[in-house]
Amino acid sequence: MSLFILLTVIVVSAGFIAPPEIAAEGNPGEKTTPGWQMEIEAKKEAQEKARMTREKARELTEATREPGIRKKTVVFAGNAKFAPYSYFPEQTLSALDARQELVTVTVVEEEPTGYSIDLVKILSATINKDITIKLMPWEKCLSELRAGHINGLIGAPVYKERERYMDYSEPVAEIDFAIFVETTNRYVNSVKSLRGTVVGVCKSCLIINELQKDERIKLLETESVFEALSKLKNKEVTAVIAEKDVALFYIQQKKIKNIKIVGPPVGQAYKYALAVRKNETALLKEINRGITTLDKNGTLDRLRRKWFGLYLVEAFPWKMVAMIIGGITGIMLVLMGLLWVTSLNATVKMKTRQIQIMSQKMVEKDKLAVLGKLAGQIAHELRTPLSIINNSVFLLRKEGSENRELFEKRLRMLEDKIKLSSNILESILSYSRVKAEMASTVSVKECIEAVLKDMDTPESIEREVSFEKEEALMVFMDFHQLYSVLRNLVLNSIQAMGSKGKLIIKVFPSDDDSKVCIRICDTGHGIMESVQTKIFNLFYSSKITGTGLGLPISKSIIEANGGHLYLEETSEKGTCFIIKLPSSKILPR
Amino acid sequence: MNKKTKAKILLVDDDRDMCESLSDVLTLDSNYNVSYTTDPLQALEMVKKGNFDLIIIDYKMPQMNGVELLKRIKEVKADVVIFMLTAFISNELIEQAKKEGADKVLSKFIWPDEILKYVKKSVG
Repeated sequence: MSLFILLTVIVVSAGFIAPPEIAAEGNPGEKTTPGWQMEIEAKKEAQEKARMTREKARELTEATREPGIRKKTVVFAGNAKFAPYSYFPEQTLSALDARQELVTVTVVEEEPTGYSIDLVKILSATINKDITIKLMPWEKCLSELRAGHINGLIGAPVYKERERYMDYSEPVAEIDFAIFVETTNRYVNSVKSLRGTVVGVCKSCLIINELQKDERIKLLETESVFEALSKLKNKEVTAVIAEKDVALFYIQQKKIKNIKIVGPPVGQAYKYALAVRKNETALLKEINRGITTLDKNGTLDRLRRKWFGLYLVEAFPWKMVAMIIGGITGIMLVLMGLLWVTSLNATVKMKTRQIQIMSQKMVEKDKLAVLGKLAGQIAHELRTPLSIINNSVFLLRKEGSENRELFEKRLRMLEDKIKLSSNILESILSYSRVKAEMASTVSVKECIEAVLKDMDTPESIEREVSFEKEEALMVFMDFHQLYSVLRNLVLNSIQAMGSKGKLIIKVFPSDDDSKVCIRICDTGHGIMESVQTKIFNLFYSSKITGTGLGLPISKSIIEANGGHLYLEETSEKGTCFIIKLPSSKILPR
Repeated sequence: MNKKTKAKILLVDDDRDMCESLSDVLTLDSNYNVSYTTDPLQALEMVKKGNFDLIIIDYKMPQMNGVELLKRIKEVKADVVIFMLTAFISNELIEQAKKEGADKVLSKFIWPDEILKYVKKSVG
């Protein structure tokens, strides 16, 4: 039966196409012909025409058995009411009638349109095959395909059960289902929440089977999605479950207001593809080739954008996600970089702080060490006179004052050692408080003599002391300070010489009398070259018993008084230190 | 105290006043035979010649430190009792001095009664 119908269609169409061609061939250069001849010719022509028609019909009949291979034209059907995939556009015209009343007329255009229509048209050109599109009700599409009246469908949800009589192409879209309610509805948020309500659903909608499983949901089946939406607006149904793209298209197209989508997608999403009759392998292969080409060259994307626009439910946007992830990763990296730099900065700051603390601690430690050394120096310097004072007091108590000479000796000793103690303290303190608070005009000669008198130098050490131009040897400074400096230098010299040697002290004015020079020399072992630069460092001492205070204190005292103290020369034969102090003559009294 | 058995003491300190004052303390009541010197090398010579029971040495002296002198004295006369006086006692110094044979390491600032007690305990 189906073969007959198809054959008829093709025979008719072939006959319709063929005559003009034949007529055209016969017309040019035609001359006047007798009537009987014309009749014969006409007969022949008719016979020929019939023969050709038969042949053509045979050819086409054969071709029909293998459609898509020999035959160039194939027929595809599509759902006539499946906007925006395939539909006849409608136009609503309004006008005032004779009674001045508004009359609205809906005009349905003849040319179908939609995503699938555009796709199939382009596909047709891509695979170089004429595809005739016929839109009809969906159920008819399926029955026509089953009947073999058409070659395929321009679009169908990929539905396993239908694979018995059709093969699907590669998917060209994806259809998912959503719940649509009025914007005022606040309690519907899932399929479950629709229990006990009436839900509008399009008859042909695939989701209907699933919804029918829940008996508590009452379904109101409609012919189209638009009808279902209209019932929603009329409050005949609480919600509509429909293909999201389809419903959104109608909502926009028909300007339906106050409708919203709620909850997650309903059921599973379906792939939407072209379909061919079972076993039309070659045709399917060509279609798939075309779809792949269109997918690769971006045509499919373009079409989706055109038809679904803002409602487009795109395939998962990997590119965008990749870009977002890339962007986020980039930002994260930058942030991490910044964080790293910041943390590095913080670490550097922390380390710097630690170093500061450490160095501070070291300074503190140094200070403690300095203090310890200073304490040692103070102890040593003071304990000797204190011990003598102590002994003298002890002896005075024991001896009484009967022996006047002895008594006086003890008292003198007491006075001397108390004075010495005071001087020692002063000299130690003078390092931190090098200031000539008790400055007066001091005779360098007198000071040196006092130092030498107070100091017991071994008899084996010879002394050579000379003063040149005595009246010019006056300086303006604290006597005790000068005393401690000179004592220190003389002590150093004696220690350098051991038990034998010569202490040479020479005091002389500079050429212009502006300075008093004191040269203190010994015939000791000299100062090693490696030590020479360190001798003025605080607490540096090359001697086992040295405190390292003497020379630096002396130097700072002299410098505080506007003078200089330096190592003049040193060798294995001896050492000379020189002090140069401003003469009191040039200093204001 | 029996004059024949009175102990011979040598004081070595670079400060003459210190020597003199300590000598006076030691000789006042106890009648110790006290000699002193400010020169360590001379002290060494005196130790070689004289028969001292006790030698009191100051640690800090310019020519030679007390421990060095102690060592050298012990080389000459191992059995002599030696007290080391120091202005600044440290464990290190005590250890060093004891190692070299010092019997006591005392603070230089010692009360006369106390040093007399130590001396008496050592040499009678």
